[in-house]
Amino acid sequence: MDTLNAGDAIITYNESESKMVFEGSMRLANMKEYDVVSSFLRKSIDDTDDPVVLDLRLLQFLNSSGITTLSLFILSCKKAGKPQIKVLGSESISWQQKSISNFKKLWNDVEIVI
Amino acid sequence: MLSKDSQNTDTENDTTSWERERKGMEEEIHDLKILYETIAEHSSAIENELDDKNREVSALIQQLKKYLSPQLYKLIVGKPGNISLDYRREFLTIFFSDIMNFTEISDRTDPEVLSDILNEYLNDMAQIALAHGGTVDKFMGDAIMVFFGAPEHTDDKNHARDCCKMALEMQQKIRHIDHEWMQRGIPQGLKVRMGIHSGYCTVGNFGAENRMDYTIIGGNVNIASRLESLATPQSIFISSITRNLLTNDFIAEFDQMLQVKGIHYPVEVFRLLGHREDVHTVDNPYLVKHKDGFVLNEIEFDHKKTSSGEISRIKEALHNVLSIIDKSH
Repeated sequence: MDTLNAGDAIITYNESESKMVFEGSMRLANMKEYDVVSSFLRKSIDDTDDPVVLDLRLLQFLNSSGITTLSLFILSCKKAGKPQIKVLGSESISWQQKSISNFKKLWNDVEIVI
Repeated sequence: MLSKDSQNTDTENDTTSWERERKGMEEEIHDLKILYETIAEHSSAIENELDDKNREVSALIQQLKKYLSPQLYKLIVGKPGNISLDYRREFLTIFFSDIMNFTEISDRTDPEVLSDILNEYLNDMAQIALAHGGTVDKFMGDAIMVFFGAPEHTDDKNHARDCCKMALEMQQKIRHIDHEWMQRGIPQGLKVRMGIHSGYCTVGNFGAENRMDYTIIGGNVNIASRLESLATPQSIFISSITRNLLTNDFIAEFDQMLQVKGIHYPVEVFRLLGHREDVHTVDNPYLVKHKDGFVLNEIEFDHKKTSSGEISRIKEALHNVLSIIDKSH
C-alpha cells in the first residue's frame, strides 16, 4: 500500500485491488506542486494492465489545478490505451456532481459510478 | 530522375503522413477543448459553491447579530478596534431588571399570549439597551442583565450615565407597555424593578468548552442584583458608587442603607427619579398622562417603609388626578 500526502489530502494506492483512494481536501497551489501527484499516479499504474479504480468518494474538495491533473492523467491513459479507468464519486459532494461526469467526455472508455 | 510512379507514391505517402498528423492534432485539440471545458465547469462549480457558502455565512452572521451586543458582534465578525475578549478586571456599571409578580402572570396567562408579550417586552428593552451602548449579558426568563464598560471601555462616568439613562428610558417605555398589558387581559400590568451598581468585575468568557458565555462575575454583580430585588415596583435603585459618577443632571434621592452578605460595609441606596433634560422621565411614576386622560398606577403605602420622597410623589399623583378629573367636567 503506497501513500502520498498532498497538502490536506491523502492518496493511497492499493496494488492488490488496483485502487487509488483520495481523501480530504486537495488544494495544492499550482500545477508545479501537483507534479508529485502526477508522478505518484503514473508510477502506481505503470506495470498494471488491470482496470484502475479512482475512488474520489472521500475527496471533499479539489481545486482547478487538481482537476487538471486528474484530467491529464486520464488523457495520458487514453493515449496509451490502458489501463481502463473506473471513477467512484459521491453525489453528496457538490463539486463531484458536475465535474466527474466530464471525465467520460475526455475518454469515452472511462466508467463513472456516482 | 525519379519515375512518375515513384513521385506519385512519395506524394501519396506525404499526404497520408500529413493526414495522420492532422488527425492527431485534431484529436489533441478536441481533448484540449474538453479539458478546458472540464476545468471551466469545475471552477464554476467551486465558485458557485463559494458564493452559496458566503450567503450562508452572511445569513448566520445576521442571525448572530440578534443574540449579541454590537460591541461583541464587531469583535466576533472581525472588526475589533480596541475590543478584547481576554479575562480582565474592569470597572463596569451593571444593570438588573425583573418583572414584579411574573410567576403569577405566567401561571394565569395563556402560553402563546405570554410568549408574545414577554418577547415584545424583552425586544423593546434590548433595543433600548443597545441604543445606549449596553452589552446585553443575558435574559433569565423575565429578568435582564446588562453591563456597560466591556468589551469596549471608554469612561466610567459615561458608562454610569448611559446605564442610568437607559434605565429611565426603559421605565418610561414600560409605563406604556403596562397599559397595553392591562388591555390584553393581564390585570397586574407590567411593573418592573431595576438595580444599578458600579464596580470592578472580572469579565471574559466563562462556561464549558463547547458552551461559553461572555459575561461578568464578582461581588459587585451581586450588589447590583440585590439592589434590583430591593427596588419597589417601577423604581430604579442605584448605589452611591454609581450615583457619585453621575452629574447633577440626574435626580436621585437617598432611600436606605443596604447590608450585603459578604460585603463588610453597608451600601447607600438611592432611588433614581429622572434626568433634568428629559421632561418625560421626571414625570410622576404613579401617573401616566395621555391625550384623553391618564393611567393611575398601583400605589403601595406602608407608613413604616414608604420614604418621605415617595409620599410626596404619591400625594402629587393623587392631587394631579383630581385636578385632571375636575378640568374634564
